[in-house]
Amino acid sequence: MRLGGGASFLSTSLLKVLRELCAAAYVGVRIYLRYPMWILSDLITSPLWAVVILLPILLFLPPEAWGSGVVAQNFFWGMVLWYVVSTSLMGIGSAVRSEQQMGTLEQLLLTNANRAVLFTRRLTFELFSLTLNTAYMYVFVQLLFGKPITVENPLPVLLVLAAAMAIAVGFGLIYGTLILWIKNPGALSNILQFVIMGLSGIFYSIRGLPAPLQYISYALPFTYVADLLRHEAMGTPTLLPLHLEYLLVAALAVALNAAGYLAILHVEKRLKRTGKLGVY
Amino acid sequence: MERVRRLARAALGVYVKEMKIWLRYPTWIFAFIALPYMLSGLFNGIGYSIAGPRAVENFARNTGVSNPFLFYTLGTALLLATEVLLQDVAYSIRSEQLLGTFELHYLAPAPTWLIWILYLFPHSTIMVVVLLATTLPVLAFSGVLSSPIDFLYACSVLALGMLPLLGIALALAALVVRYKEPGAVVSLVQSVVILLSGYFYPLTVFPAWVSALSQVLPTTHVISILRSLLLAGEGVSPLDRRLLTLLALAVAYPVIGLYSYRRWESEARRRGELSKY
Amino acid sequence: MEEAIVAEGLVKVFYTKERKSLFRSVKRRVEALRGVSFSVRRGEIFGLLGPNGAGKTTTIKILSTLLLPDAGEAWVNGFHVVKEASRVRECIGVSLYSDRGFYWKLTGRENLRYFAYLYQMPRREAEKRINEVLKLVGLENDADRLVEEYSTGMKSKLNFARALLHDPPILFLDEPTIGLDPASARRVRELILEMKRQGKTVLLTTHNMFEAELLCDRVAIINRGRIVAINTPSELKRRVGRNNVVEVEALNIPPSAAEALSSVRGLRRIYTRIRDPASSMGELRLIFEDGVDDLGDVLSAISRAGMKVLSVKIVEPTLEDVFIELTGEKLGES
Repeated sequence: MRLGGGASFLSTSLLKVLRELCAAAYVGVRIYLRYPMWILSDLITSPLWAVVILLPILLFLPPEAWGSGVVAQNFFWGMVLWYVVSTSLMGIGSAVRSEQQMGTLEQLLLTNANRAVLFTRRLTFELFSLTLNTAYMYVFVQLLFGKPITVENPLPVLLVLAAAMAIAVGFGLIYGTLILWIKNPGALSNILQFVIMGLSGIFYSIRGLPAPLQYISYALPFTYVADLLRHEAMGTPTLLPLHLEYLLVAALAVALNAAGYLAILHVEKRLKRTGKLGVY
Repeated sequence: MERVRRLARAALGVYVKEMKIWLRYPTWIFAFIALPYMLSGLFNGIGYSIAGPRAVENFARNTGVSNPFLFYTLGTALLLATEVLLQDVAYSIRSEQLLGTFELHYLAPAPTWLIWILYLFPHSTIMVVVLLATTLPVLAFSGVLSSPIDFLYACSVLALGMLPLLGIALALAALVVRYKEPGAVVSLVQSVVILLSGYFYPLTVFPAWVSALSQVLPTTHVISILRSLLLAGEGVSPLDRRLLTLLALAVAYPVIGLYSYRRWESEARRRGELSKY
Repeated sequence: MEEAIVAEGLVKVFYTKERKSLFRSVKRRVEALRGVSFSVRRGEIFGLLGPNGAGKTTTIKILSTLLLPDAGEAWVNGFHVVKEASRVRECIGVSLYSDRGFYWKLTGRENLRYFAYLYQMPRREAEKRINEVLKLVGLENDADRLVEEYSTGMKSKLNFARALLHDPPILFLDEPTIGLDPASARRVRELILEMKRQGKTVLLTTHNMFEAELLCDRVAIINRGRIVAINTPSELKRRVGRNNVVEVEALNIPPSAAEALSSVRGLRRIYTRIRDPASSMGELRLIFEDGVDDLGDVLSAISRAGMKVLSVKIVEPTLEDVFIELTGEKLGES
């Protein structure tokens, strides 16, 4: 297809999306690397926050149990899942806000680029950050507890992590759409993060929650990811039969991404009707 | 006198403007109401989950406090106050830079450092009202508030403890004026302050040198005094060492903060950084 | 299809909230467009001239698919702006803001590269085109500096470069010279004329009548959401008529000058432009029905009103005269 004064365009939509993903990843990494203070801050603050979260939990145990391998394992995988939830809310959801503030949102929507790709601009960087933080936490937790972090089934763990990221992207797209609509989320990201961490059993099994709260937990997608991850990494029992839980996670990943994509298109159209697209 | 009146008018202007903007984002108010309970609930949930029925007994043995929910609610309320105080000035300046209104403040006769500090008051008003409204019932229900005088004493300690944070906030503001992007530095300072203040644990869990280092933070003394007053039911004398240290920090930090702000601001003016964003 | 852009009866209504107090607000209906219709021929520069709030940007946003009309239809390059929005986006270049909408921590070139990929251009072609547009707008020497270091004029040029990036046949330029110094504004105008020479269609909005006269083949005058006239600048000016406009430079012009001169025979409209408020020095522009019968009559009415005449000229009408003639308002008043 030739357009305008003669620019030629790729014809297959898959290649187009890949090209857009590459461009988005390139911009995300370039911008991040131009804020060196962020890299330094991330390296220092990650273990500090880990300590701030870990110590209050340890206070419920007798001091002689503080070095327990089970606690170390629970804590390590909890931190990994926390990064996944943060990626969803802060990395993907809040990226929309930054485009609004920079005044680039309308310019982006003037292109025919895939809307989901535009909103997941930071995904590549978030994946990189997740890998780095996981490795970093792996070393940190082992040093802190003096116990090795073992993984019972490495390949399924990787598979669950990939599914977790897919769910995070879908959930992030839905959350990003909400921000696109309401503009300034205020403290919503922080509140949601704690709600999800508390009710999805990020650091512990939801079986310990009061029964009414468990019903909410069963409705949250991250509950199944956390449960499967602990099962594959630590051998804990699952909430649902294993195959059913895998099936559910896969279905959730597809459904959330599809819902997120449709939500973006719907809200974009709605904002174009109300004239609030460029408002920030 | 006229000068004071004019400054008061400027203060009122900033107060009304910021208050209006904040009230139009009600999620923050909801956050102040909900977060202390949510975080406390999260810690307690994990604690019970991993420690079982002996969780409270272990907690009391480790901290000397028998009510972990209250312990963490108080800690989170203070954590929120610290976060707001430390980040508000820096983020407000950044927001003015992005909106293109930053330079306009330099055209007003009031000193800019004062304007930036004034940004804190509307947010603090909302925060204090909401935190009091939400934590007071829990404190009262738990029977830790023996008299209104105790409560006022606790509030005064809290207010005194927040003054040195204004100094740190001004120093952070100076960095934003000079180097723009505040997120990384603010996040770094916040995490260090929160780690060493011991909002969620007694500082005795750390090696002695870390505990010694934490003494330079006002928040360490604030939480320690408040725990004595509210959770342990101990009296705190006005001549208590912690209170005197807090007083000294309340003078020293704002002076250092103001000095660094003025220095960095004049450097930014010299380099033409004020108009860049 | 002869027309590059066709708009038929575009209507857009916004609802805004008026904050009456801290907790009370009242919903208000704002009619931004009230049945806007026009068409733009291929290869022409078409101007939407009107004051702030007239509906110019709303029109451009509807045509560029950023806004959906409440009623009416529009086609760009033969594609329907609502039903074939993605086809429309492929063939338009849009410049909406002069100095916003960039990633500050990327260089000018990196910003363009990102958008080139989003416009789905192959890598080699993108790089070639980026170099071309950077050279065209005169940013080739500053292309590798971070955008946060750019001046307003440079950002405006980069904005223009982005609009041209995928070589679209149709350009939408919203107030392209606003906020620019005279030299930068001149450069942008030259670029717009260069686009016309390349055969592109340009739809630009402006409230600058000089710019509209200089650049546009045809102009649509828009006011309060309605198009009040469309024609070439010279045809529009003919509506006022040659030898019908008298410009009087005077001192001590009172606020009631129009009232004081209302008795002058054959006078259709009068408006003032104060240049020096201290001495009330400025211009009176008098538009007559059918030529000036008697300048003496005008001059004596002026001196009776206490004004001191500095010069009197019979002048060619401007587009501002046309605007006033058609709307009864000055360009900055709506």
